Amino acid sequence: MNAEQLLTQLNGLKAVFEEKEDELTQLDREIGDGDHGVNMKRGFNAVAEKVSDGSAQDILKQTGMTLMNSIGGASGPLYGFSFVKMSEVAKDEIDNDNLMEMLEVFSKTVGDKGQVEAGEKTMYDVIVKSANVLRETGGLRLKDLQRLADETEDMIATKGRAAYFKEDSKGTVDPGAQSAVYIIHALGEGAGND
Amino acid sequence: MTEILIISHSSHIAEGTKALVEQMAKDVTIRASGGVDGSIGTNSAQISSMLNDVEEDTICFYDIGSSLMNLEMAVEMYDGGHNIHVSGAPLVEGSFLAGVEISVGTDTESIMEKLSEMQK
Repeated sequence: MNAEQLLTQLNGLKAVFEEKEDELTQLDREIGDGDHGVNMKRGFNAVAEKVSDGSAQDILKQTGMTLMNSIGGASGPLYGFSFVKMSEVAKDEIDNDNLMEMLEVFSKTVGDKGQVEAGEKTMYDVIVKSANVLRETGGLRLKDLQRLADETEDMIATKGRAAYFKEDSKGTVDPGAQSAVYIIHALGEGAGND
Repeated sequence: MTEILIISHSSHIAEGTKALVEQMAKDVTIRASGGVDGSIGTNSAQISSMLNDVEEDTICFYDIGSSLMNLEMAVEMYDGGHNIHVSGAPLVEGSFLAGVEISVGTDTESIMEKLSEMQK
């Protein structure tokens, strides 16, 4: 994947989050404050509007800064800062090894800054296992990533606003885990592909 | 002279704390970042732009929830030439103590040590 493809794939998230806004809103209404759908849509609308051509590193950094500027709450800064950190390891031509490295940075950033561990029903549950998916299957297919998000359904939230729902958070896929599926899928295969 | 940066979810808390500390430490530069776009919240881009304005080493204080995360991100992205310290001391008490200590000439390291004894 070169810089041009990367930009196309990230721009593709605008349409994805427009289409999935209701889905994320529904999930977030169950166990949060219901703004995750509109936040993600606003964030990637801004990315499509503002991020311009450049090296892969530039594109990732601009994406990160744009997300940090345009999405509130905890998820915007965490996604945004992760893109900024991924820009520091990205190469001009991103192969699977480099993508793996980026996913590890993504995971470390969210883990450190969000102070979150696996099994706490957050975006981290998808991100932390995504490098494994890439290693084992050679790609980042939507159905494999979706399986990771689905695993959060039975978890009990201990972090973020969902933690207030305690046991009642069971039975709903975490909205952050769901949006992480789309973001990682776009980084790998590109929106619109399987 | 070391500066102080106050980060709060609320502009009233940030400005109010700044006014309180200024009362005791008139010569100390105190910057306050409270709320986002007129409502409650913190934002690391906003904190970044505050950090870009500092003219001396700076001690930062934060309030609840994601303010620490946003502050830490802004500090990590800071590429200016001053030392940026983050204190986990309670916002009001911590910045008050720092303001007084800075104004009487205590060095930053000693202030950070005193602050570390008053964690939230």
